[in-house]
Amino acid sequence: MQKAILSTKKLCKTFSIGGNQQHVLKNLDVQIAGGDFTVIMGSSGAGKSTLLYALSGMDKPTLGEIYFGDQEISKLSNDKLAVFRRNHCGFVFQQIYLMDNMSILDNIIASGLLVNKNHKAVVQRAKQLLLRLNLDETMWRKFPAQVSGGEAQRAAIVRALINNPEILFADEPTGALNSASGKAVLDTLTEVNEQGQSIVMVTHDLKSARRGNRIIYLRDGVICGECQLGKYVSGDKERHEKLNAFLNEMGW
Amino acid sequence: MLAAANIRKNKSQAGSLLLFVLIAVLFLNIGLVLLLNFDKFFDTRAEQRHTPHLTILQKAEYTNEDQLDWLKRYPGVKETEKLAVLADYGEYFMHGSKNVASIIFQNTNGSSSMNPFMLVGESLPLEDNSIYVPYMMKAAGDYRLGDDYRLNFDGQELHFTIAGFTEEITFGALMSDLYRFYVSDRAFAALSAQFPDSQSYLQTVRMEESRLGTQAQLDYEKAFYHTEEMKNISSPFVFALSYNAAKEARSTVSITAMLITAFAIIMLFVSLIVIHFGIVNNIDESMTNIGALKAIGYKNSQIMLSIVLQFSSIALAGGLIGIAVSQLMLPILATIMESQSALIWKPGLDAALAFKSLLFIILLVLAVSLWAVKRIFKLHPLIALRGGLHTHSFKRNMLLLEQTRGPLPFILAMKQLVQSKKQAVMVIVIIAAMSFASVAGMSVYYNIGVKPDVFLSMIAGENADAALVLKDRSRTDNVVRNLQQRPEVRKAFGYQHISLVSENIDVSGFITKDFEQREVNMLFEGRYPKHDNEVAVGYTFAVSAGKEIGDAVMVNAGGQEKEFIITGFIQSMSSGGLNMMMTYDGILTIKPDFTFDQICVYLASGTDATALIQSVKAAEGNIFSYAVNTKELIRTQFSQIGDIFAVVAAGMLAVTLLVVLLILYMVIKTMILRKKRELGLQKALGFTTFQLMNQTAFHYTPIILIGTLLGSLGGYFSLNPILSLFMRGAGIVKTNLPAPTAWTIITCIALTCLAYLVSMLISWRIRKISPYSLISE
Repeated sequence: MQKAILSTKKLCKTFSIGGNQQHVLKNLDVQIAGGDFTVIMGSSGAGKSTLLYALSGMDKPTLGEIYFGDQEISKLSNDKLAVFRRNHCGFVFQQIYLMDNMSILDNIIASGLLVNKNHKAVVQRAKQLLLRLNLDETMWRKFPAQVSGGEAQRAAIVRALINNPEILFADEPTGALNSASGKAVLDTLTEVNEQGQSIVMVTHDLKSARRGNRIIYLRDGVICGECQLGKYVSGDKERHEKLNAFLNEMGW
Repeated sequence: MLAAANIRKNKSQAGSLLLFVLIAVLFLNIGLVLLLNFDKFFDTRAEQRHTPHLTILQKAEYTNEDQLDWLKRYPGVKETEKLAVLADYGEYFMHGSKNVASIIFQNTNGSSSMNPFMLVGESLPLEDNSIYVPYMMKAAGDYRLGDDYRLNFDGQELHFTIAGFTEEITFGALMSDLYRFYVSDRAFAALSAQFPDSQSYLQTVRMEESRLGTQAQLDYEKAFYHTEEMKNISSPFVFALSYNAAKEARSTVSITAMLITAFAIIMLFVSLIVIHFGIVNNIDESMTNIGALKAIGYKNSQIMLSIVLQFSSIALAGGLIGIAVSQLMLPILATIMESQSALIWKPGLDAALAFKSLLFIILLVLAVSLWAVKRIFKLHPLIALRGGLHTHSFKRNMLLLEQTRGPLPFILAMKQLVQSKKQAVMVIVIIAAMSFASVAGMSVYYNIGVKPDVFLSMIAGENADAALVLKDRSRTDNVVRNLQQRPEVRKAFGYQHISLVSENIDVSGFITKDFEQREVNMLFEGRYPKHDNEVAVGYTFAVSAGKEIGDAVMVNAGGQEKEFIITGFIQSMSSGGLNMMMTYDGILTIKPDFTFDQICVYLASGTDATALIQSVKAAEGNIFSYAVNTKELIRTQFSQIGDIFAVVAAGMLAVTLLVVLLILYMVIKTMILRKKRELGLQKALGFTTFQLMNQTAFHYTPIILIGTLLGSLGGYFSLNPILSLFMRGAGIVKTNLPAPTAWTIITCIALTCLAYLVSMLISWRIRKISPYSLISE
């Protein structure tokens, strides 16, 4: 196992709703290794997305520590966390969340220019990535509402990758897509992972979960099981059965 | 019910709209009350005080029984009165400065039936050394009961103790320069003995209608002042003052009222734009709710009515509060006006006027609301339930990031700006309207309160540093020569106002040897007369006589008549534009015995006109029947008016700032609410709060800059064309008031900087938007 790029110590997250305390994450110790395609699964309300957004610096933990390498990020200010996210993380959301008043290419360049002031290099990399993810030039100047959901989500992946993030976070990236578009997105994620990109993905979809090499299963805010699957190979029945068995064991 | 729920939901928007309407109604009610009710108050008060419709003040030596008989026989005259008074030029003191005026002494027991003496406020019984002074001395001069009061009368210094203040209708206004003082019978007798040359008569006339006084004045002047006998007398101390002239001496109230009303109309226009914006915004935000209401069976009219009611009730509430606040402010403004009008006016609630203003505004709001909600008709419930149609135009994607270089927040702000053109245009129009009003208001204040020379020359024509009238006109040439030799005098020349008749129209003539010596340019077309057969004429005269440049006019100067060629058009409010310029050689051809007794003196910089007058008096004796430091006189008259316009201009500027703040608050808050998801996303991608705040401020700053520039430049350059339009009837065709360039530039810069800072401040709420809300909401 490679060195952990992200780790937590006794991570807790509590929400106060109407005066009632809801402990969503409870003393979680988790480590994310570089190059892994980590999938977080669990039933609804288990704390999957909460864990993902705490790990990515989108939300602050109530208690505990989060380390990016050796740097503790759980105590950073909001603006420092924003700088952390732009420099080290990429995000793919279930609802796609491209800025609808900007073209596909502009959405990507706007993210790229946040980190890299070399305008030419950013534009060049954005175009290369778009082509790599099968989004040809005819798409670039269209607005998000003018392309299909799958195309928009692939554009979102390009945006997530534009700054060469150390880790890419995906929150149910196929949740809003049809099966064909969903497969294309998963293929893209698998491809970039094979090229060394670390990915942490939250899903409750079995097909999506199969793409990961490590599955973490959450229940009531604690990790109740983990499964190492090895690298994804299409049609690898043994791997699929192992995952199925693990999920059955977890009561999924 | 729906309307009330909507107001509760959007409390801050409702509050902002209410404030807009409140300010508009506040200014409108104040403006209209001043404009319409002061005139009524003046007429009512004048009637209560049995005020004369024509007042004639003449030295005893020029007064005879024929004049009174003439007045008694004049058509429409109901009542006449003749009182013995003491009158002469004199000097009074206000805030340490000496001011020239016509001074009248009257004894309290020689009581008159017209405008009889009436004390206001506390008073003491008159003693030999005490005096009742016009209320103006208290309102503008800050004199109090028991103060020592110094008057220079016919060159002698007098001291009294103030025993009371009198209300004057005909005399006593700051702009009229005519003040009546009451002394005891014993003091009056003593003064009469001391100043035998000042024995005068005050002849007053009441007519069937007050307006008849103006014509009676012209006819009286024609009958008695334009005679050969009077024309040969050097500057007789005579005045004929109509009721309307006394009223016009309080014209500052009307000018202020017009300025406030014009500003109120601009504010109203802004309020209506904001209400339209608010409704369109409201529909966008409540799109799903509207869809749901339509889906469950609400009719279009019910949904529209709820929105119209929501905004109309806000306007009604704002209007009512505005009227209430205006009623609180009116007495304060009326008190400020006292320093100019010298009349104690306590404006009460004019319910009918307030109701009409409110009704007018509510009807306008209803019309704008109905116009704004009409799109609900076309809105299909299913489309509404989906959140409405996409409003973005996908036709053009301006400022491609691929090609545009520059700071990212700035480029993103500009992209946002071009994509919200309608909103930008709305803000530009509002800011431009407000900046226009501010700069125009400041320009008016600058020209009246700070540098009134040009404004005064527009009203009164030439105003040199010192204006002198000689007792003995045979000495004029000598005095002019002596003055010209003094080192502190730049130039001195005879400049005479005389009465002429041309084409059967009475005109005021200006005579001098060389018009190029004058420093006030009254000419707006053609050239000044140079030869003895040339004249330049006032615009009103040219229109009345149907004459153009190059045409010939017959001019009569007391018997002899000759044809003159018009060489140019001049403008002056003197005699309502019925005026004419003629050379000295020209007047000699129709009045061979003409000599100057009026002299204009221009001084070298840093020289005091009062010192010069004293120095000439010391050298040549008291040769003047009238000698005035014109600049000082202007300063005194205009300082009080300037204070009034300063208050109005400051109010307009303050409201402009408030409107800029409110507009920014409304549009930025709306933008943040609408783009909450987008801002959250940008934060998730790594944009810091400060970057997003800057992006927002950059979005609105250029809009404010454009609006401010358009409005300020509009105010700067259109001041004179607009004024000219309004003043054409008074004889002014092309005004050339200097707009305050530095003030205008400072206003532009200050408004833009303020807009940036306020945008940053309002955008501070972006910090509360968390990227996590993307998922949690």
